[in-house]
Amino acid sequence: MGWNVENRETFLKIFSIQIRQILKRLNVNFDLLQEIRLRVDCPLLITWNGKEYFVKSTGEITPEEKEGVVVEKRELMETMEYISNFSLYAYEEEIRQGFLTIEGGHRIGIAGKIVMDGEKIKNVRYISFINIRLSHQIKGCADQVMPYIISKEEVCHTLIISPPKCGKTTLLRDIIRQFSNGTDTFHGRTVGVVDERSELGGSYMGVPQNDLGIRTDLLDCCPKSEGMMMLIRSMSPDIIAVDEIGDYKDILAIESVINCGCKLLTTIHGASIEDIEKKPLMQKLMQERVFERYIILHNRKKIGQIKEIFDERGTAIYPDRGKDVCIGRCQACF
Amino acid sequence: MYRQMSGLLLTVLSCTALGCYMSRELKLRLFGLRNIDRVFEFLKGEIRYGNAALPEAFEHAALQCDEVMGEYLFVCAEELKKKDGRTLKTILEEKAVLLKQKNGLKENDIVRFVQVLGRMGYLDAAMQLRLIERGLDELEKECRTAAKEYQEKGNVYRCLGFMGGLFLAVIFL
Repeated sequence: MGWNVENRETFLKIFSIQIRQILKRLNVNFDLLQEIRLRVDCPLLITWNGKEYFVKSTGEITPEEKEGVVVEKRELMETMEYISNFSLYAYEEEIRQGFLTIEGGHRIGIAGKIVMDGEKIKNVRYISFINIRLSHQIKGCADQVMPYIISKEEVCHTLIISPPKCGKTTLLRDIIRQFSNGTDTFHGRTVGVVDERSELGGSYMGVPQNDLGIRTDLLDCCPKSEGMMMLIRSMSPDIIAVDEIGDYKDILAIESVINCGCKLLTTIHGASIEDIEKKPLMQKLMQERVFERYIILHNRKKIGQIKEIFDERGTAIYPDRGKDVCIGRCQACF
Repeated sequence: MYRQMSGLLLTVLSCTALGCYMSRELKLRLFGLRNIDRVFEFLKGEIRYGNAALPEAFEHAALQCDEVMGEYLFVCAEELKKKDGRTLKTILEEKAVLLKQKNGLKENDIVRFVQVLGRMGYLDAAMQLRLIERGLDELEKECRTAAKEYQEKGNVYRCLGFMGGLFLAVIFL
């Protein structure tokens, strides 16, 4: 998402009036704004270009904690009301999971007092901590990856591995867009996207706000396992893309996708192939060499860099090992 | 003589019209209450099957209602989207003035309707549905009373209007 006045205004509407006024004066490039954190009786905090800053009441950013404007409980409550469109009940399931996604694909993490129902989490009351992670669409950020995930004019089953905040969703979004639209050397394919948390498409009332390409069909807010099967049956995609696989149902659905002849693009949390191998559910897929490409991201120097790319046998195929490739989330890219 | 006759005729007609107007008010109220009933039903569907947020649910319900109610819900949805510091209850109450036009609802009906809507938005979907169900129960009772009232008083008002007109005409003679 490129931030213009209009979508900046729309985004800021999720904040309470007072915080909104402060953030309106925030004199930073929103393209580099990664997080906004609100905590009751604590200073307003942002992560901008990989660094934490406090926000003054004038809208200036400062590294000094004392100068930061303090967020009050009622402001947090008002913010929560706006985030949920005056309808917390509509986000019941998401709140239970601890986060919800709003228009534009921005993820809102919440914490507070947990209400249990037996052994299950029933709800979160007294929400006192909010973390807003901004979604960024960076067109072209997958340019350097594309040659490695196409082999003999065929798409490779690809797994993007990265710790949180390294840009795996951003990268996957652009890979989807490029496969869907096609490139000079590659004809576009039908892509089915299961967007369980509305992060890839950032859909609003079923319409993706992010560009996912002209041959993309999207199932919004749909559980991954059910969604993958639904897409295969209904939309006959060439490629299926899902974000953040993890539980056993996802793994079973992946096996079905592979067996149907669809190509799979997905992401997982981790820092290396070894990390993924340690996950019991992933072991089988790796042993069977289901994934033909593993892309590993990191943010050691800058956010969203490709650390390594491996083939199905675990051989590094990324040619300039040790040299970072930026996928477009550093200041130099804007 | 001719002028006297037309004066008497006008008296009878205007009194009859007054009776009809009173009867129509009762009918309009019944119609208004049924409209509220329809709104609750639509909201219930939007929440149960669409898991829709209130602005969205209001917009969808607005399309299914009559002009006055539709406008009210639509305006409320638009105001909610502004997120300008006002609460749901405040917006609903502020815009309730739109409901006071042309729909025969009593002040009490409007207050009760706005109260039910104003309590929405919290916690889980089940609670919202229970709230609407309770609103519907109360409304059903109110509808029954209004229908009975219309049946009983509607004819009485019309007849009284006509008879009153005749009575006046006789006195004038």
